[in-house]
Amino acid sequence: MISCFMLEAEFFSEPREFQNLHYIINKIDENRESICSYPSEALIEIIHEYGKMLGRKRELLKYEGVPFLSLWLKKENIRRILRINFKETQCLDDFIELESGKFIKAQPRGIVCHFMAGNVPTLSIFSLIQALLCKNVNLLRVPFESVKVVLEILKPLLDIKISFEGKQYYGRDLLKSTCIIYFPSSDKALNEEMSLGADVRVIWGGEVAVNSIAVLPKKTTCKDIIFGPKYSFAVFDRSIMESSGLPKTFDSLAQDIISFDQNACSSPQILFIERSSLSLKEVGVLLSESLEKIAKRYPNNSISQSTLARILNKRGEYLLSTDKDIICNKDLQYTVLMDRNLSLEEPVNGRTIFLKEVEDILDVCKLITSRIQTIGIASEDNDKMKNFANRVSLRGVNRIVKVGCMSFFDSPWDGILLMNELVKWTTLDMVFVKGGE
Amino acid sequence: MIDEIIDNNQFECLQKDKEEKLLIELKLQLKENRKNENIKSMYGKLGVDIDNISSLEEIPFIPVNMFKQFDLRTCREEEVVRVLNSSSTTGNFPSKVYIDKQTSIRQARGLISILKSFLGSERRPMLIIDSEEVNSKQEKLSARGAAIRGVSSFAKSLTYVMDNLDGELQLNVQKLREFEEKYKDKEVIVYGFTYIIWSRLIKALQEKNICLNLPKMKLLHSGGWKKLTEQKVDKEEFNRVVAEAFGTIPENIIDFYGMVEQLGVVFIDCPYGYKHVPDFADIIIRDFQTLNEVEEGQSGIIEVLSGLTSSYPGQAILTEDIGEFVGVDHCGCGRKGKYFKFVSRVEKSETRGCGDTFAERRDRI
Repeated sequence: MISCFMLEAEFFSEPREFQNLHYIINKIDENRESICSYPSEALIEIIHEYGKMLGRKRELLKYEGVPFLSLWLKKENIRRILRINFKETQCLDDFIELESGKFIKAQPRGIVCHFMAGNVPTLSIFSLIQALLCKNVNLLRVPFESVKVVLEILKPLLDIKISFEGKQYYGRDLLKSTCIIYFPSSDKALNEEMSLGADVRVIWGGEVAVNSIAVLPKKTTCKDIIFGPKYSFAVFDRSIMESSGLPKTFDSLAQDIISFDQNACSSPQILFIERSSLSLKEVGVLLSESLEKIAKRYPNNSISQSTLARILNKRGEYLLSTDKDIICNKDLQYTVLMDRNLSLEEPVNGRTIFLKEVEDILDVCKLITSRIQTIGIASEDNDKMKNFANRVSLRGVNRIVKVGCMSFFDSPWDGILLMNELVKWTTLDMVFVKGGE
Repeated sequence: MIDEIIDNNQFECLQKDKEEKLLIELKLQLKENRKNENIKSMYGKLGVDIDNISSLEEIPFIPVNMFKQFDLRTCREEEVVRVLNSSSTTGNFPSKVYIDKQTSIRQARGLISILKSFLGSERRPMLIIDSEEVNSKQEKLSARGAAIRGVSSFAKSLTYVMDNLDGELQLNVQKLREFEEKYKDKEVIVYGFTYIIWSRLIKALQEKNICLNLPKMKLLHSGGWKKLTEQKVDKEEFNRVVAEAFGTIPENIIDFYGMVEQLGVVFIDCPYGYKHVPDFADIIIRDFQTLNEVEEGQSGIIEVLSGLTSSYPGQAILTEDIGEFVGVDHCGCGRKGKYFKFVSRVEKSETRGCGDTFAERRDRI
């Protein structure tokens, strides 16, 4: 059974139930022409107004990631991302000339099926907005636990109306090109139907989810874009460890640690520090002070049972080990686990960070696999940062960003220019070779 | 003093008095724990000053899983008479619990002391729903074996009713019938693991259409409800079906909660359906967020404190079980001290989304 929460720009407080996806897919498909008729600039303006409205709604700003989302939707940022993806945004509206008589246009691929993960609800909006900017129609299967938040965040789009070059354009039309549904991931038949209906499958999730969706039958023309399981950490080099700005840098890292309950693929799980004049314990104390400060402002009041068990077991291990150390508060607000083992550690979450001392930040190169998504870096030496970035990205890392910005969604993401993948490149060749010439 | 507390009638001490007495005993034992390097390291990192501990809640607890990762022996190696191993159903490594003579004796006496409160002081014939091999005389003992060894000290005679055929437990109907015939009018005790009783005994009796006639039996069972819950079998259903199979009333089917890391401390359901804490032990149900003790009526993670152990740090063990703190000193059954309800195991599975393990699949195979 499919629970449908939004269709034809109508939000259902009690989900409409469907046995299959025929009706839903037909309905969103009907809006293909309509969304294609929207100039990109009109779409950008609608999205900009939508972001402004989100930024004004206190009840929505309380949801994690919404303040950032409202800024991300600003037209300056959307234009920047479009430029990164397409260089010339006009290609989304018209054939643009590549060379004399040769033209190219980015056409929407059609129906984009988004298989969303449950750890970061705002990802649904990032995924949807990019598909809409490429003028696709969209079917989102959202995990049950995040449906309510996604719908609330999406609702303000309904009331957006803008004028562009003398014509009216509506957020409602974007919603008409979108449907939000839920069905259990264990429902093989519905998964197959959704997969077969897709011109693009955008798959977000952990290994089990991604693997189970990836093997579903699909059209031979279907494009897969997979944002699979990833792991992130931070590194501080000696220059920052011995600078006066260190406490502020720890504040920034603490912000990264608490974002999205440390559940995002970009959330830092480990901080590697280069050996400096500070002892590991002294560094741990500084980091814990930053975590203590942020915990007072944003207390962690929703620890799941599984996270609780992981935290308590790791605390036990580090307390009892004679070669490891720990700093944590009495309750479960934060945990700093210190050792000198050059290794990655399974995520504990719940504001638990492993702190490891290394001789040289380049030592972490040995640990890099294609699973590593983001490295938050703090250094005052730009050349060293570039060298580090070059080395780790060669081995698989997708993003090397300033500490404090690790969870800021950007393009490319996971090494993928999403919008560039959501279009098909169509060419028009008007150079005719005349007979006999 | 702890030996005196163990041998006294249980559940007679008011909570406040119990805490005072127990704290003195446990503080002495905590000092001995420092012989173990790992525990010494833990106390050092936590800045524990044993002399200044002023309540049971302040005693540093050890998460139960640490018995799988560390050798938490606090007696001399040559004093170890047995090593208990947990069943290791939820992890790769079993717990190692080192038992010296004193601990072994105290655990046996502690268990008898508790059982006396529920079953009376007379020893009775005991039917064990397991095979004899599980309690063989070897240095290492499984959780099941340890539990049987514990309750068997309350038995006049032991009858194992299961045969172990190539690792599969099968009901020996002839032995069962002989036991029934011999003791049908007598008070007997039946003991077994909850899931074994359900899946091996009851299933076999139903298949063979056997209904026993042991109306004066009392069945004690423990060992977790996870598998039964998956089969949609609740406590009421279990009690009804098992009672029917033995020809007795559901009130004679008694659930108790215990663990291999705290042998000798069991929490038996009273007629009101609550679990009571003996005078030589205590429980603290800790809040999921703050780790402080919860208020009455609230649920949290169960910590079990015990004064029985001198060979490992059993003074305060944090379990991975959830309990509801029901009350103190006022249960209708008349038993004093804290009483609670077991709720479930901690839920460990969760969807992690794209923030997943770092390990590549090929590295995990």
